[in-house]
Amino acid sequence: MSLLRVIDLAKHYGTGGGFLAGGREKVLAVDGVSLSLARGETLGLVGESGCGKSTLGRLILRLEEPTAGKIFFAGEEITAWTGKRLRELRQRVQIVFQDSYSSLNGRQTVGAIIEEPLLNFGAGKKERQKKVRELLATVGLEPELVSRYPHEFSGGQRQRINIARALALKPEFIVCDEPVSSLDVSIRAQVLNLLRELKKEFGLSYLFISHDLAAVSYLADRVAVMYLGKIVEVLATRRLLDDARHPYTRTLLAAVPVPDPRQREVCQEVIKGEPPDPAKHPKGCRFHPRCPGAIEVCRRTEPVLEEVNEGHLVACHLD
Amino acid sequence: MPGNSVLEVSNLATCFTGSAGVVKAVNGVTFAVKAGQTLGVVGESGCGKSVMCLSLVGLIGPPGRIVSGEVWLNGQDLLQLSPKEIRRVRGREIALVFQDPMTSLNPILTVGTQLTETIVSHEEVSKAEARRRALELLARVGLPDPERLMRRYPFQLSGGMCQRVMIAMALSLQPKVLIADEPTTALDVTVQAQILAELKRLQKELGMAIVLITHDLGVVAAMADEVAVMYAGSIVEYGPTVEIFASPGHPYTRALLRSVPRLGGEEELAPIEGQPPTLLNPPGYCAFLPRCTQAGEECSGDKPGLHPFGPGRYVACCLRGER
Repeated sequence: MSLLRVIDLAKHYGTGGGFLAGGREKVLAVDGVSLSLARGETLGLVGESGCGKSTLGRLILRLEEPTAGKIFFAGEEITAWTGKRLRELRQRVQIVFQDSYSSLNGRQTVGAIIEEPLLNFGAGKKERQKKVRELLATVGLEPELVSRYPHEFSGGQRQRINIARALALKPEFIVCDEPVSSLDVSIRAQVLNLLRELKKEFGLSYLFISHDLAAVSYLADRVAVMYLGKIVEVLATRRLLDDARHPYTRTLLAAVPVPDPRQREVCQEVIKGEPPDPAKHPKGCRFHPRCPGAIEVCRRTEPVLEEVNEGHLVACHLD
Repeated sequence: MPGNSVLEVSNLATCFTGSAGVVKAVNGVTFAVKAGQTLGVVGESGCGKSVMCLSLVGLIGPPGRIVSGEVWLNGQDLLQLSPKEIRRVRGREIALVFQDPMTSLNPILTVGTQLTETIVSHEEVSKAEARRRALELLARVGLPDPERLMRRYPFQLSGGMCQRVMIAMALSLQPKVLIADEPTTALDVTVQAQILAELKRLQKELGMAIVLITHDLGVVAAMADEVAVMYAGSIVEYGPTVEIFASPGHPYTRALLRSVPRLGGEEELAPIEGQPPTLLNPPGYCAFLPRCTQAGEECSGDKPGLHPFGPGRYVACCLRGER
């Protein structure tokens, strides 16, 4: 049984447009997404700006109300949960955000920040403080730092604090939304390795959202690629380079600059056009205006996400 | 350093003085770039690379001060020029492209106005001629429908389009040297690939030298002929890109290459423990010492300078690449 299952999930935003604008423009941020995540798995979610990956993460966490679709966690439908049930869910599902600085309350000590979730779920003071020190040690920070404030730490350390807080309630599932993107190159590896170790130690499952394919491929078992609100391909990470079939996935892979000067010419196969405007959807396949192989049917009909191989799903007419 | 370079920087040092002490943002930097070539400057935040860019074109103001060095461009030491003289050089001989295109363009002027203004203020041409050149430039950097684009404001453009406009502006006076400070960091990876390909093409056409500052080793590998690795305000390694990637000489370069995730890579990442140091009141010894896994007795002395390490290669390390 999957730990997380999402069926035809959608989030549409109406964009005002003003009284005289006539019809309302809708941003179809997430537009019919289905996926599942097994217990103990890390699913990577990649895509460029405007593809809807962060919105999808927020929907799954119930930080936003879906416009349509269903979300199941550990077999139970959580789509419409509120109040007490939702609060209980928060114990099991946590998040680590991109901006380590704005995720932490600058007026609270690090100890208080990590202790807060424990306060909400009832535990004695001594027990809480012991737990806070343990958590700091778990993420590689000295327990003596409990009385410091967020601004006294570096970006990488703040991210560790965010992770410690996320672990406080012993969650089963953590959504990591660009957890290392704003960190220095030499620090990213520290946090990526930490996430990996913690997963092993605590039996966690992750949804790892990022535009950085290389970071995702380091941690994820499977990768789902998003474009303009839809999933266009899902496959095992180890198969990514050799077996990716969707033209967008292939362009994305080709565009990632490789830290190897002998492969300079790879950069030549560049994609045409601009990343699309999420408020303006082309008819048919959303990628067809930029697709080098688009044929007639691509302009008329949206392709469906189908299994082409075991565990490998693609939404493309060219297959 | 090669003699037929178009830009030669020698012992550049820039400091910021405040109540807490002195921040040695650029601490003795030396490099050279030839026409038609790209020098990649790799470094993480706080290594001084952005201050270095600003220093090259005289954009450092109090409390910052360039305390030493020479910047030779076309037979002139830019650091000796008066503000009026450097303004003439800036844009025409040496141009800058910054990281965040959305904040670098004037938000209340159309693209057309900004471009034509740049041309008219530096060259003796009519507005009509400047407009004609602007249209040509926009097409040259791969922007569709230049006529329509001229009437747009920056907020109406995407990040990638803004960056192309920035590049068009930088090229409008046909500079000999283009300094690009993280030009694609804020862009999506597919847009980045387009912009980098565009820069390469333009470089070929114009024979321009490019100094490309980035933290992305993949971008360096794709674009740079030579690399300067910066750490804590100084260059710690310098040489041809292919060789530095194949056999890095400085422990920081080595550690950096091992800590970067690669698509399809199987190895465990080896992070560099600790943080980059503060540039405030730096110690007299090697700045990388606290994080170096190969440090030995030799490292307890003064901060090492760049020493030859093979043809065209230099390393600032007491161990001289041994180990």
